[in-house]
Amino acid sequence: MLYCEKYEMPESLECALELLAHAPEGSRLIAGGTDLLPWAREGRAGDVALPMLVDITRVSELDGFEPEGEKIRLGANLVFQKFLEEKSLGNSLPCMPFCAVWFADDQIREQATLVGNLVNASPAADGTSAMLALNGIVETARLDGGKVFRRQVSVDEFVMGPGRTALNSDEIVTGVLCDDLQGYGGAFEKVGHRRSLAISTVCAACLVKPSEDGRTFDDVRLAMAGIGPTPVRLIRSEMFLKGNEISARAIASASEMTAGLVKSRTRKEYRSHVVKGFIGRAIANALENLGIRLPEMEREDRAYA
Amino acid sequence: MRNLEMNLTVNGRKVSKLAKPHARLIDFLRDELNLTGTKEGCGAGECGTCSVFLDGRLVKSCLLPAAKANGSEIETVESLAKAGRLSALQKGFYETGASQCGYCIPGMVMAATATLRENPNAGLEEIKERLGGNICRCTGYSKIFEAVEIARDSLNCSLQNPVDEGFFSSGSFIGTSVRRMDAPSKVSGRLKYAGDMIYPDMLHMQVLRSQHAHARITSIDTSEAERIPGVACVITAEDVPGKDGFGVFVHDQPVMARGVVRYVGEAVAAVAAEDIDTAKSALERIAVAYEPLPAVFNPQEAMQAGAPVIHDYAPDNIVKHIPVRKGDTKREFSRADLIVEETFRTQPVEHAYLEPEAGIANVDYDDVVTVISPSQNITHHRHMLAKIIDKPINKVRFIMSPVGGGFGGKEDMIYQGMLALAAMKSDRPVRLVYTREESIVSTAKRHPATIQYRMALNSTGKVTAAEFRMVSDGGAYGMSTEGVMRKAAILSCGPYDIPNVKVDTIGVYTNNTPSGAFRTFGAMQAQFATESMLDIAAGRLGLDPFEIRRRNMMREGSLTHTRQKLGTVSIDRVLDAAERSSHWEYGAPTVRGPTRKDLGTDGNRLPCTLGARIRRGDQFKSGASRSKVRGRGMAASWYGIARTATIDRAGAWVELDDGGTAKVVTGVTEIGEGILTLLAQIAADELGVRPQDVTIGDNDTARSPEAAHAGATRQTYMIGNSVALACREARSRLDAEIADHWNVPVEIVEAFNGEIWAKGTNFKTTMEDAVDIAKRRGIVPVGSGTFTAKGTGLDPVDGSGSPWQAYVYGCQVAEVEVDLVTGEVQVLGIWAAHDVGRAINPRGIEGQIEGGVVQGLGQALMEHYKQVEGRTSTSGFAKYILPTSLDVPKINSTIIEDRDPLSPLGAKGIGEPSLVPTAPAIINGIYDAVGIRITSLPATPEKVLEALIERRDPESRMHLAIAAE
Repeated sequence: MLYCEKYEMPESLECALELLAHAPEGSRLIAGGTDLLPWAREGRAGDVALPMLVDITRVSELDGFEPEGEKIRLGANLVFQKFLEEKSLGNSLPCMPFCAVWFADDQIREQATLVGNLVNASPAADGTSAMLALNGIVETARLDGGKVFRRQVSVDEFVMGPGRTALNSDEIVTGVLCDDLQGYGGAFEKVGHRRSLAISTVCAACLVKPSEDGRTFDDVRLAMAGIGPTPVRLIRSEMFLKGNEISARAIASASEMTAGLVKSRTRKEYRSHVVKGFIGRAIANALENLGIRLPEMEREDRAYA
Repeated sequence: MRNLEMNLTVNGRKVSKLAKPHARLIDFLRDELNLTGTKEGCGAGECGTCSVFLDGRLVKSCLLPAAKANGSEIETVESLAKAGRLSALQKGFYETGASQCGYCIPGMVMAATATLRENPNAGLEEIKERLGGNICRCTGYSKIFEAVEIARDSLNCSLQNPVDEGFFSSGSFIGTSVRRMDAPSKVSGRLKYAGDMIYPDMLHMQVLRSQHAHARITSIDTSEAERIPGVACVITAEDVPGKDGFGVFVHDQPVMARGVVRYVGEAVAAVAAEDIDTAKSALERIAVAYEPLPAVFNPQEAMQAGAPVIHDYAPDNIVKHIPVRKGDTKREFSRADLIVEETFRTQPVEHAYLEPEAGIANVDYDDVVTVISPSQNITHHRHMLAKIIDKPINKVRFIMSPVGGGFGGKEDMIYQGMLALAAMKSDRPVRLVYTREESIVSTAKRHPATIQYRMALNSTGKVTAAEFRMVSDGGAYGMSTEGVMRKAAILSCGPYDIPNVKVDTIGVYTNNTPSGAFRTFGAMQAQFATESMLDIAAGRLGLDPFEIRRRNMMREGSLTHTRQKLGTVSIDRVLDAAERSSHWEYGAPTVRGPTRKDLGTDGNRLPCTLGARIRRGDQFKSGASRSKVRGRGMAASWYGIARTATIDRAGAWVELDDGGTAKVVTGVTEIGEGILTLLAQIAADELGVRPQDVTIGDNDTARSPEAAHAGATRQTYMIGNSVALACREARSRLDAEIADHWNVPVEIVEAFNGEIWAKGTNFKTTMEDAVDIAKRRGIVPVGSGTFTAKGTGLDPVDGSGSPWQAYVYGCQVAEVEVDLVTGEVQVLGIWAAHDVGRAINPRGIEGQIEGGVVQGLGQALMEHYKQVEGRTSTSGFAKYILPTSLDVPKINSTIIEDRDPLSPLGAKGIGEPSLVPTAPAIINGIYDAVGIRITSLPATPEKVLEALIERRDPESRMHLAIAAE
C-alpha cells in the first residue's frame, strides 16, 4: 500500500511548484498514479509511507494539447486514452493511436498520462519510444524566488536510464512538444506475453512519409523500446531509407542495420530477432495505414490468408 | 495525518465523509460506504474487479487515490440495476450464463457497460479490446462476449435470437439450459463474499510470513506487538490446543509454522486488531529469530541421498510414489518397430481465482467455533479443525461463503485455523482478507512435472508398451500431492489399450511453494505428455492423429492401465465428433500447416491485431496475416468421475414444502460451476415442481448432511444423484397420499412444472394443493438420499484396481497461428467434444468447457509461477500472466452423452476434463504450423522463436524474421 500523511491537489502550477519546493523529504508528485500505486505492493517496494503526495491532475494549465507552429504541445495531464478519442491528435501524431491501443487497457489509459510514462523512464516504455520518433521535447518548470523558470530538454536527453531522467527534484514536467506529422503513416508494433495489459518485451514506433509520387521515402522515423536501458531511435535504418525506394528489398536492408542496437541484459538474442522483424512490419503497417501496400507483401498475404 | 474531506456523488446520492489521505477510491467505496460490489482482486490494476465510473469514465478504483474522486460523480455496479430491474447488459449476462463464480462479474459488467456507452454498435473485436482490462478465470470469456453482443442488439432493437431456456418444449428441466439461480445477485454486485461480510465488533487479521525457505525458529517474541493499543491478540503455534496438522492426505502442515519454516510465505504468527493498519504495524513488532537450514528447491536433488530433509517422517523427501505395472514392457521394447522417447516438462501454475482467500471466524452462543470461508471442502475442514482445537466435532462449524473461484486451490485449510484460534483467543469475530500477493505466495500451485517417456509401437501404429516416469515437485507440504500422483499414474498413458505399461509417479518434498489440487489433479500434466508422444509417433509412422488414436483407443471390455475392465466407453464417438465439427483434413502430423485446406473456417476468431476501433475494416485482416503461419493439432483425453480409488459418498435431504415449493438441504459446494442450478433442475424434475421453486441450502456443516468437496468432477455425479434419490423418497410419500386421496393406483400419479395428475383420469391439481392435501392427512413429504460411488484402492506394488465406476472422454482440435517475427502463438479456434454422460444443463456445460479450454491455453502459452531459491518473482498479476479477452479463441463445443449405467441420473461430469486436452492440442498445432516440438510448457514467444530459428537455419539464424517479413 502507498501511505501518505498529506494528499495535496493544487489547482495552479505555481501552487504545485510551491508545494513541491516546501515538501518534506521523500514527498512525490503524482499524476495518474497507475505506476505509483502498483509499485507500493509486496514483491516490488512493499508498503511505502510518504510524507506528502502532490497531485498535479487538477492543474488546469497542464491539461489538453495545442498546436504550436509545426509542432504540437501535449500537456502533462494528457492521458493515453485521448490518443484514441481525439481525431486531431491521431492525425497529427499518426503513431499514437496505435501506441495507445497497446498501452495497458482502456481503464488505465483513462488515468495514465503520457508524461508520466516519460518520467517513469521504464526501458520498455511504450510512450517514450513514440515520443522519440516524434522528436519530443520535454518542457519543465521550477520555482525560484517566486518566479517560474522553464526549460526544454529533448526526450532523448531527458530519459537517461532505467528510472532515471534529467528532471530535477524541484521541477515539474509541464508537457511535451512534438512534431506535427500530419500526412505521415504511423504504426506501433509490440510484443509482450499477451495482448492486453502487456509489458513490452520489444515495441516499435514508426512514422513514414512517402514522396509525392509514392515511390520513395521522404522521411522515416523509427524508435524502439525494451531493447536497452533507454528507448532508442534507429538512425542508421532511417538514414538508409530516406530517399530510397519504397520496396521490400530496401526495407529488408534497413532491417539489417541493427548491429549493436540491443543492449538488454536478458533475452538479447530474442530481442535482436524481433527488432529486425519489427522494422519491416512497422514500416509496412505504417505504409498500409496510408493505403500503400508493397506488392511483395501482398503475395505473402495470399499464401496465409 | 490530515484526513480528506470527501464530498462527492455516489450512485446519484451526495456523500460527505472523511477519508484517510492515502485511501484509494476502492477503500472509500467498500469501507466507508459498504458498496462491496466493487471487488479487490489484485490491488494493482491488473484484473478489473474494481472498475467504476468516475465522471462517466471507467477506471480501476484500486489505482485511484480517493482524493481524485473528490467533487466527482461515481457510479458503481450497484447503480446499474434500477429498483431490482437488471440493466440490458446484466440481463445479457444472466441469459447467457456469463457468470460463474461471479467475482469478476461486477467489474466485467461495468466494462461491458462502458463498451456500449462508448460505442453502442461495437463489433466483437472491439468488445474484446474494451474488456481487455478485466480478467475472468472461470468462463473463458466466450459467454461474456455473447452477453455483450446480445445486450447490444437488444438495446439497438435488432436482437435476432433471444436466449431460450428450452424446457417448455421438452417436458423436462433436465437437458435444458435453465438460467443460473445465482446470476442476478452476481451481475448486480449484491452477493456478499467472505471479504465483503461485516460482523459487529469484528477484528482484522494480518499474518506474519516467513522470508526464509527453510529455517529453524529459535524464538518468537510477541510481547511488544501485544502491547500496541488496538491489538486484541497475537497467535502462534503455541496457541494450538490440540493436535496441530492439516492436509488433504497427510496432515503434515501446522496451522502456523511450528519450530521450522519450510517455504517463503509460510505463516509464522498472526495478529488480530481493531483495524488492518494496526495489525500490520504489530507484525513489525513481532521478533522472530531464525536459524537458516540448508534448503532444496529441485525434486531430483531432493531425492538424492544427503539432501536436506524437509519432514522427519519422510527422510527420503518422497511424499508419495505410485507404481502401475501391467505386462512386460522390456520385452516389447526389444521388438518394437518404432520407439519414441522424449522428456516433457510442465510448470507450476497459479489458480488465480479472482477472489483472494478471505474468512470470518467467531465463537457463537453455544461455544461453537464457526468459520465462514470460501472453502471447497467444509466437511474435511471441520474434521481437521476439531482435532487442531481439540473440540468435539459438533462444536466446530464450517459455513461456506460464496466461492469466488476455486479450481482446487481452496481445498486446503490454509488460513481457517488461524482465524479460529484468534476468535477463540480474543472472544471476538475476526476477519482475514488476503492480498493478491499473499494469495500467490502462500497457497498451492499446480504440480510442475518432469515426465520421461518411452513408447514402443509396431508399424501399424499400435502402441505395444509405454514407460512413464513422472517426478513432481510437491513443495514444502503434502497437501494433495499423494492424490495427484495417484490420478496422474492411473490416467498416465491415456485412453489407450496398451498391453504393457510401467508407470511411476513420484511426488517430492522441496522448499518451494507447496503444490496442491488444481483442476485435473495431475491428469493434465500426464496427458500433455501422452498426447504429444502420440503426435510424434503418428508423424513418424505417417498416420493421421485421429487414426493412431482409433487404433489404440479403449473399448468396452478393455483393461485400463490399472487393469480395470471398462464398461461403456465413448472415446470413439468423441473422436468422431471433434473430427467432424472441425472439418479436420485427414493426414499425418508432418508440418502440414502451410498447405492444409481446413484452416480459416468460421469456427475461428479473427486474429487479434489491436486497434479494431481505429483501423478500417479492410485493413484489419491483411495486417494480421503477414508473416504468420497457421496449423492445427488435436489431442484426446480421459478422466475418472468422483473420488479416486476409494468409496465416495454424498447425502441430501428434501422437503416438498408449502406452496408447492421445495427445500433441498445438502452440503454441496458451489464454486462457480453452477451446481446449485443443476440440483434445482434435478429436484424440479424429480419432484414435479419448477426450478425456481427449489431452495438449495445449506453449505453448513452444522445444518446439512455431508456432501463433501467440490473437486474430482464429483458434484453432479455424487450430489446430483443423492438429491435425485432424496426427491424420489419425498415424492413417493406425497404420491402415496395423493393416490389414496384420489383413490387411484400410485403408479399413475405424475407431476411436472408445479402440477400433479393421475394419468388417464381427470384428477389434476397444483403441487401447492397436493402438499396441502398431504399435510392435512398428517404427512410432511420429506425424503433423504445417499449415493455411493464404489472405487477400489490400488495395489501398492502393481497399482491394479478399479479407481472409478464412471469414466469420461474428450477430444479437442486447436487451430493456431504462429508469428514468425515474434514467436507469439495465437489460438484462433478450439473444437471440443466431451462426453458428459447426460447433459443436465447444456449451456452450463459449454461454460465449463470454455473455462477449461482457456485455463489450458494459459498453461500452454503464458502462465508460469516462477521461483528462485523458493522466492517467487511472479507475486502479482503484472508478472503472473493470465489470458485476457484478447487471447482467447472461438470455442466450438460438442456434447456427447454416453449415459452412466450405474447411477440413477446417468450424468457424469465435465468440470475438470475440459482442461486436459487443450495444451497438447495447441502444442501439436504449433508443430503442424511450423515444425517445432515444444516439450516444456509454457510455449512463450521466446521459446517458440528460439526453436524456430534452430529448426530453420542453424547457420544464418538471424535471417529468419527478415525472410518471413
